[in-house]
Amino acid sequence: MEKQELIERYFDGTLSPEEQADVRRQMAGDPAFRAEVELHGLALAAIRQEATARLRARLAQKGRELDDTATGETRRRRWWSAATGVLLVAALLLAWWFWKPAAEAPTPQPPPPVPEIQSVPPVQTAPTPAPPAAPARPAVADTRRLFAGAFRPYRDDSLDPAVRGTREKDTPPERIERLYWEGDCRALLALFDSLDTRARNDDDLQFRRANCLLGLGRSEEAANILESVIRNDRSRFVDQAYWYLALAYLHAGDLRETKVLLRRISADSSAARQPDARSLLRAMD
Amino acid sequence: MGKPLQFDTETIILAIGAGKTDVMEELYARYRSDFFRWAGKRFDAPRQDFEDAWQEAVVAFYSQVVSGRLVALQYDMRCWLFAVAFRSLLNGKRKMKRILWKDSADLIARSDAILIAPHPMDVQPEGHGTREMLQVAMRAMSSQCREMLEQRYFCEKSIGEIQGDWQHSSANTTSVMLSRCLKRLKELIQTARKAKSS
Repeated sequence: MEKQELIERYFDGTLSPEEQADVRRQMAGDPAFRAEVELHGLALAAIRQEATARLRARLAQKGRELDDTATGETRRRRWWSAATGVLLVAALLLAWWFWKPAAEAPTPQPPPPVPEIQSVPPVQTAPTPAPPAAPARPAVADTRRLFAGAFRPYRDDSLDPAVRGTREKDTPPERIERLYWEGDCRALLALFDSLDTRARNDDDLQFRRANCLLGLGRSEEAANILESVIRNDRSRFVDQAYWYLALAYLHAGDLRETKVLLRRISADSSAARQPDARSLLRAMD
Repeated sequence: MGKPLQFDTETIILAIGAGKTDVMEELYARYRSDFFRWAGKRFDAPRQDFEDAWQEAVVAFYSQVVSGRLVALQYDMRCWLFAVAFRSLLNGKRKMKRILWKDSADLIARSDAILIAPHPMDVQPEGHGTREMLQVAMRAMSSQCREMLEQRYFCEKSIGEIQGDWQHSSANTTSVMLSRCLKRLKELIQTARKAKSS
């Protein structure tokens, strides 16, 4: 049996008791072999840790959907309760109005004398001062110009599909990666809707999708996705996602959120986009 | 109590074993609010703690099934999940105010029944920063490698099943690709370890 196979089977628990004892003996006498076994154990732990995190993220997403549905139902129930209450009170008031005893009816009073109406010359009023001007807000055109100057769809060499090993046929997630690399965002978005749940929960793919949406001007959808990518914290593009979320806010005209995010990136010396964030903040000011 | 599952326990176990992970969301959703109510009577704790415990129970169920350590349940699934989540709450919150009610899930959780059989060879990442280091290494892998490694070593799929999923021409191709991915992961871990120790 080869060494790697032996180690794999050791971790699988499929070795016989004698073989297990043999592995332990080798580990005790050979530090290099021991290091290899430990490294294999760490690799398995890494895989399981990441997979568990992904599964939990899927469940958490499902939980949020369930909570949102429940909140919606509660709101509807509250609305109907309030509406029913208002109708009931109105019905009671009407009933009281029609059925109140005649004795309680107010005695008719003679109408008050109508004062003589005099002709009043128009008053010359001072011109009304104009209301204070609202704080100057950059026009939509300004934010879009800033956005256009700052936004470039994310690219790095690792995204190049050619870097990967050769395969007979692209899987749908790989087609997404390829379409992104080729810049065919419309095809990417169309294909994305047909992905299975697991692929749709891949935040690396979602990051590409958000970039495409942003490039097509669909900034609110992009912002929702990027917020989710950041919240889940399982994508290798999380660091970049902050920058693109700031751009999504900028495109949507939410300058306050844009600045909050840009300041955060600017203050983080490890952020890849620190120079870009500083530059954009200066441009905004 | 939540609605009964569309599938019985055996069907769910078979579905998970066959790689149909969508059933996990179904399982998670079916008894979730039921568990929150049940746990709320026993623990004075934030809702997030119940959520964490519930997720942990569902993930534990999945891990037990895919590793072949759980092939049938001695109790009904709701009880099993509640008992595992209950234990998770107990472990995490020993000082938490607790009111014990007696029902079947309580009894299972406090009995000596082995709910979760640990894998004898499972490595628990220990030491400061080890989890983060492993996370960094995994996330530096290509998504294709990550996915294949998870299918093999977390979902415990056979080489043949992975070959079918990825439409490889032969099992040998799959095997070679898995070996390369695993080797790459080990290199990344070693690099991260060196960086951590220096």
